[in-house]
Amino acid sequence: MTYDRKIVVNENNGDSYVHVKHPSGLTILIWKKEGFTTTEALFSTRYGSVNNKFRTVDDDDYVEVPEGIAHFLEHKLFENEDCDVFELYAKTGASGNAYTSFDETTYLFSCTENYAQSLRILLSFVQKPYFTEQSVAKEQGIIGQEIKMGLDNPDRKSFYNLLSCLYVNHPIKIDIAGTVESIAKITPELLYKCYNAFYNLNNMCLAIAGNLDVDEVLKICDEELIPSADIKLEIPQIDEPENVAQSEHIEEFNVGVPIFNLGYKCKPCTGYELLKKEHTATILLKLVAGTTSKLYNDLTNEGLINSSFEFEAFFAGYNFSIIFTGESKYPRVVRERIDAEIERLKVEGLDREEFEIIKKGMYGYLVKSYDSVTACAEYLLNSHFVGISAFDIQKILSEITFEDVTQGLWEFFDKSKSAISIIVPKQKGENDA
Amino acid sequence: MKIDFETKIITDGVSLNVVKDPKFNTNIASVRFISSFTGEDASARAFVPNILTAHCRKYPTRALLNRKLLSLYNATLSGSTSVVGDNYVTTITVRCINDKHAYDGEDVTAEAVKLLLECIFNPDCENGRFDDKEFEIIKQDLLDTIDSEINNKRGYAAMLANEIIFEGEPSSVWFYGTKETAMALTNEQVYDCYVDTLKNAEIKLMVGGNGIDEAAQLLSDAFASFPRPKKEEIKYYVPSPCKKEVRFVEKHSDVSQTRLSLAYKGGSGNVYVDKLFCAMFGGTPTSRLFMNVREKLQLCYSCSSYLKEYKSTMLVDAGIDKANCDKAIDEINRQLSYLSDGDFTDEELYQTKLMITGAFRSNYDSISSLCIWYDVQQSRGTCYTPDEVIDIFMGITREDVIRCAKSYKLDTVFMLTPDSQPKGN
Repeated sequence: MTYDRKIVVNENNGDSYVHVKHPSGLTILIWKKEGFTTTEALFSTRYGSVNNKFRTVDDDDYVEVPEGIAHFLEHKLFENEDCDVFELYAKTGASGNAYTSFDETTYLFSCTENYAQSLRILLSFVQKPYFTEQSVAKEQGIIGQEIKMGLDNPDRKSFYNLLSCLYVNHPIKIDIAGTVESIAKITPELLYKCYNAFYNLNNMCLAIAGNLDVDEVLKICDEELIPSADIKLEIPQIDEPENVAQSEHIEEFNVGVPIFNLGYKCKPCTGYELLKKEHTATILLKLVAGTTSKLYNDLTNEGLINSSFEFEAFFAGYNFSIIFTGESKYPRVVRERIDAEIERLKVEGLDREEFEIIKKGMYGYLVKSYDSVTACAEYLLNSHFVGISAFDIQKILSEITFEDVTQGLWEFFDKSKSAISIIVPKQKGENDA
Repeated sequence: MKIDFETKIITDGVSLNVVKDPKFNTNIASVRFISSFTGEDASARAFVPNILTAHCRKYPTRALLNRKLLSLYNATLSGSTSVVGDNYVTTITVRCINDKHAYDGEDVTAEAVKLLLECIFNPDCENGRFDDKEFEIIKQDLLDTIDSEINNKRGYAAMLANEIIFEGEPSSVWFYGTKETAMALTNEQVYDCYVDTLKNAEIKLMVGGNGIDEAAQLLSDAFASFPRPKKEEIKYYVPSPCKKEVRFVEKHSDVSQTRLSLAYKGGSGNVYVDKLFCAMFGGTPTSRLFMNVREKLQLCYSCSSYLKEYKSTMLVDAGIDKANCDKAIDEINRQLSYLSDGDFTDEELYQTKLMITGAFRSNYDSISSLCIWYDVQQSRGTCYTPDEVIDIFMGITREDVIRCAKSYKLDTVFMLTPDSQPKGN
């Protein structure tokens, strides 16, 4: 079979991977890691919990499906007509799993031998859906328990409450697993409808890294992949305003110390720009609130935050926000102090020397992460889905200037587009039996 | 696969392990203190690594210490504690990139190890006390950690169950003690605990990665003049006695789902047989518990088993609707009796071996895992490579598994339930 095949090289350390646009429609990314024993494969589709409305060439109008169906479908693909996929992996010794995020569903395995057989299993079962009334009913019970487990998790609750504050219309605010009520509406027909729309190889990617032979991987792909026709998948634009839905949400929960999630809604972006903004925002966050910053140390010394304090540049699809999380007895004060620090830095400026040290630290983090076969496979997949090469991250990092980061103080921190979710303890103890 | 591993005695009670592998970008250096544990001073012991990794005399604030770490290409300094058998283990670790990746060939690894030693030997203390302000911050952090344990219902249930499963043994005490013992901690107690750890604990030094000779030398030299007092060899295996009657305990909390914990005690005397049996029972996605309690009976999202190796105890954990608890307990016990009766296929045995040996082999791909691998091997009195353990595994027979399954007896059933009505005794 002939391929559009190119080798992508990391100019800094000589690492390389193979990029193939397979005739079946699938993009295949293969990174051989010399000296490693593990192989990690990720077979992924651009389909997540936010894709609840779509249209293909077969539909007159947009179809709306129940919340949580992408995650439900992920569970159900593990059941073949004649056996469970885990039973197949058991024969090769691979450890299989899957996850659904806001905007993608990924099936994966990790193994230290028999990777070729495991790859055949992965490619085969994801392309062979089998849904029945009986198997759907069974999964509704299991996922119902998973949802209940999530209901007992205050961090998850606080996070989704924040997303509901930040986003007015976007389905990102809906729990990935859906609700017991929404998954009760799922039928085999709806699962097939979603499968046929999103599990099209043109919408998917295979990323594989570690102990492997490139030609053998491609040969297996030739034999296992079933070419997909273009079904003209359309996903409607969601009309999401720039403003937030509400500025604050407080809820009681069985927690020991109050939890908060503080978010700043930013403008959506995609591709190279997305990755650059993610890294610019990360550097800025470290400057504003990292362990070396004045703010972090003041808040710690005053007992306003503890070691659970974290922050991230949060991306899901093209949605982008800055999120701070942690425990605090005074979350509103933490919010005020963060806002005040941003204003101070806008006037007094950031520390240029600190900026250089943080960039050096981020380079160190990247170098260390290449020791992980799993991280390498994830770099391949994530970079493909945003339309760049896995080695562009290092390039982007080196390109970010002090001025870019300074500009972020205005771009990423608009107080009028911020919201806080707070979980406070219920005034109720527990009893011993 | 060949591993370049070396172990040597530095002085009485101090040993050094060195693992070299040129494929890694990351280097690691650890100092592990092992003390016998009575359960009384858990809070003080949990405190020590937190304060040692927060600052030191040379870098007297968090900001300065963290800045130094960042300048070493985001080196990380971390402290951890755990209860292993009836011992308390405190570990302080530094991880950094190896020097060949530094922009100008700086000595990153040696610098990182010097920083580790600064934190251990020269903490910010005076007149038998740590810096008061830092002490109070870390104390509050420890108290918040204890208060927040309830947020993670699985971990919270495990902590409550642990008290009952190992009642009367040091292991019944959670690794950071209780809120009361943490509240009562004084600066002097923590300082005394630090001095005691430094003077009396057995010390295991570990260095791993690429280009680490100087780091190994620095660590050896630092501890060579600190011989430990002569004492009995550390006893890691302290099997927990099985209760004469099964304890059923139910506690209540504001939860949506019941957390069910079962403890079985026994063991074959061969850790690899125990591991294989435990994996067949509930350690893989094709295990008895997953396939029957979850897939066939659809009682829960997760039901799994794991070993507390040094206590000869196997724990089962599940998140379940309260109404289904009895059904689940019956099914879990039924599956154990099937394995005891030899009601399993050779294929099931072989496939479990494949799954576990794959996980063992993956240790070759992480320098941290390799260092921990040899530490655990030494605690078992052996020095096998992952490949050698795989050979041992593949030689385990169905009779070994049956004997092992028969040895495990139910000791404790613990439930954290959502309602207020107690169920058992």
